This record gives sequence, C-alpha cells and structure tokens, in this order.
Amino acid sequence: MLPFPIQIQAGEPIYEQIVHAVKRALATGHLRPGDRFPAVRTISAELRINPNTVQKAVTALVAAGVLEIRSGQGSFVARSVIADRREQARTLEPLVERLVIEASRLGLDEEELLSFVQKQARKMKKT
Amino acid sequence: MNAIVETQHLSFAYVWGKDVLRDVNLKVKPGSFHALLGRNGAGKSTLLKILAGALQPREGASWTLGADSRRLGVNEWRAIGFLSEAQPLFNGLTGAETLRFTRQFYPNWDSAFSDHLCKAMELPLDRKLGSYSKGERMKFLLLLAMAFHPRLLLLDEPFSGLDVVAKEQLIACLLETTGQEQWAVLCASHDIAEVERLADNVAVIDHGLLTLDEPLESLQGRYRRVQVFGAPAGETDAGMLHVTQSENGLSFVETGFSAVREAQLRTRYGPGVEFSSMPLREILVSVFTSTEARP
Repeated sequence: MLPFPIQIQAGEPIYEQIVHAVKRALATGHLRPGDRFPAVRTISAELRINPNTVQKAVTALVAAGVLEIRSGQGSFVARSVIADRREQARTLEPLVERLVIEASRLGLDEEELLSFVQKQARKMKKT
Repeated sequence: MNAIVETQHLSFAYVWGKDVLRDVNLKVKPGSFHALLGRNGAGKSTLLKILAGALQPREGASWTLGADSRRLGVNEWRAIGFLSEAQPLFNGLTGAETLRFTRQFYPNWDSAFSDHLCKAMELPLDRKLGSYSKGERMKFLLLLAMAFHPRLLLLDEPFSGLDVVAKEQLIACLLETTGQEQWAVLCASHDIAEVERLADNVAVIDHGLLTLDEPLESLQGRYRRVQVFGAPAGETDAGMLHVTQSENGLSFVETGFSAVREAQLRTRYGPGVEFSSMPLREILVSVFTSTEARP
C-alpha cells in the first residue's frame, strides 16, 4: 500500500493526479516532512501505471520543493514544505463547493454555514 | 538517441487493394511505451508486421533496432518480441513443452524470469495449449514474447477479449520490464483504459495516415471540453472542433489549450466559460470523427 491515498481516474493526466495526491496527502497529514517517499517502481507496480509517468511526477514534486532526493537513499518528503496558496485553493475548492451547495439546499445562510465550519474546526483541535 | 523503431515516408498496399499505409513517419525511442491507436482497418497491424519484417513496404523505409526492416537477421529476431492474437501455437504441446522448444532459439532466454512470469500470470504449464482459454493463450504468448528480454516488444491487441483479472496480470508483467531496461513497446490496441495507464506516447493511424504522434501528457494538456453557459457571442475559430450551439450556450472541443488560449477564451466569452480535461477515450472520438483534428 502507498503512504498516500490515490485513485487514478480517466481524464486528467496521470502525472498531475499523482502530484496532486501527494500535495493533498501533505495537507491532510498522511505524509509528513522527512517521511520516506516510495520508489518509482513501487508506485508504478502498485498503481499499474507506466514508471516514466511516475518519474515525471516525482521530478515535478522535487522541482516544487515537496520532495528531496538524498543520494543513495531515495526520495523523501522535504523537511520544510511551504504549501503554496494556489495548491491550497485547488485542494479545498471542490470540497468547499460541495459544502456551499449542500448548505444552500438545506436553507442555511452564509453566517450559519461559517459558524458550522468554525465549530467543526474547534472540535477537531480539541481531540 | 537512437530510435528503436523508425519509419520514413512509409507506404504499403496489398497487391489487390488501395493504400493501407501512406507516408508514415514514426519514431519510437528507447524506454517508451508507444500506443498505436486507430479504428478497425486503419493499418495498425500492417505497420507492426512491416516492422517485424513479415511484410515489405511499397515505398519509403523502415528500421527496426537500427536495421532495415526488409532485411532483419537472426540478431534482430532474437531481440524482437511479437505478440498477436493470430499467432499459431502447437495445440498438441503443453505449455512447458512449448517453453522448452522455444527457448532453444534464444540465447538470452531467462528461465528464472520465465518462471516468475508463469507464476504471476497463473499459467497452467502442464496443460496442452489447445485447452487454454483465450486469456491463458494471450498471457502465454506474452510470456513467449518477453522471456528473452527483447529490446522491442510489438503487441497487436494484447488485451482484446480478456477478463479484468487477466488484463491486470498482463499489465503487471509488462510493467515489470518497462522502465527497468532500455527497451521499447509498440502496442496496437482498442483498450483505451489500459492504454491510458501504460502509454507515454500515443500515435494515431487513420485511413493509413499517421494523424497524431505525441506524448500522452501533451495530448491531454491541449485538449479541453469547453462549455460556455448563457448566450455567448457566436464567434468561433479554427482551434475549435465539434461546435454545438443551443439555447443553453455553446459547447466545443478545444485542441490547442494553453494558459494563453485560456485567457483568450475567457476574454471572448466572459465568466460563463468552463474548461474540463478529457479522458483519452473522448479525445480519440473527437480525433476520429473530425477531419481537422491535427494541431
């Protein structure tokens, strides 16, 4: 099993799906700074996709500063990852969209929705 | 970098008919999994046969592993794996007997790798080949084509008619070698979902013409389904295919998508414009059903 959740879907280029899944895993905490990142062939065999495609994703993630290569040891999640604003937006947008649609269907107004979100965030901080 | 396969102005016709291939220029680089797509009768199998030396081009030239495809010798034969549904097998021999017979012809035959592939694909070697199911037969053919570590693997419809488990086993075995060694795969197939995961390059043959040949990512990057909601200005241009306009708005396939193009279309159509990336299957339908599909 890979250390980050991913479900390859038809449509979007596969290497972009991998890049996105890794960044999302960082945001959700599935991957943490300093974690060992699986080898290209491991990911390729697990997802049944071309290793060249996986390599392209890894190269893009290294260029973005998300992964770092330590010579002779393989790749690791970079120790200091600065999540960029656009990536945050890209990760959150579809979730927020669903939330807003459901809220409006249930007749919640903006303020009620915001207080719901705040409540949930505080609840999670406590636990 | 030397190409594993190269054709220049390649044309072919069977004696009794019209051109099957016309002016095909194709290059397959080492390390690449090149998908060869096209409708039935487009000329895919013919191209594979020419590259394997089984057919002679009428015009132009083709090289396989650096040698003229018309004059392949034993050194090339020992480095080319070929899989086609139509390949004859001795139905009276068992799988094990066939392996013993075949491996004599290949100095590079890797028995350990062959055993490994047998296990991975759950091949019943003690049974006669005549009793093999379609899936078992195809997996066995892949084993025969791979066990000697070819530098070029030519696959003609390897997934056709296989159940999902057999497909997964076939893919897993192909991936074991892909990327590990300097070899290349050229695979004619209609199984788009499989191709989308395996291929890094996509070539399309349409009525004997090579209409498209590019990295899968670049193809997926430049195709977008575009929908403009509301009542947009009716302006269209050459980059747009399959334009349909209704009271709900305008819909088309964009073939030259980029950041610049996106900005241009957003300026033209305003805030009601939506872009969505397209599965390979939809891109191909668009390519096959359009006369102006070229970039």
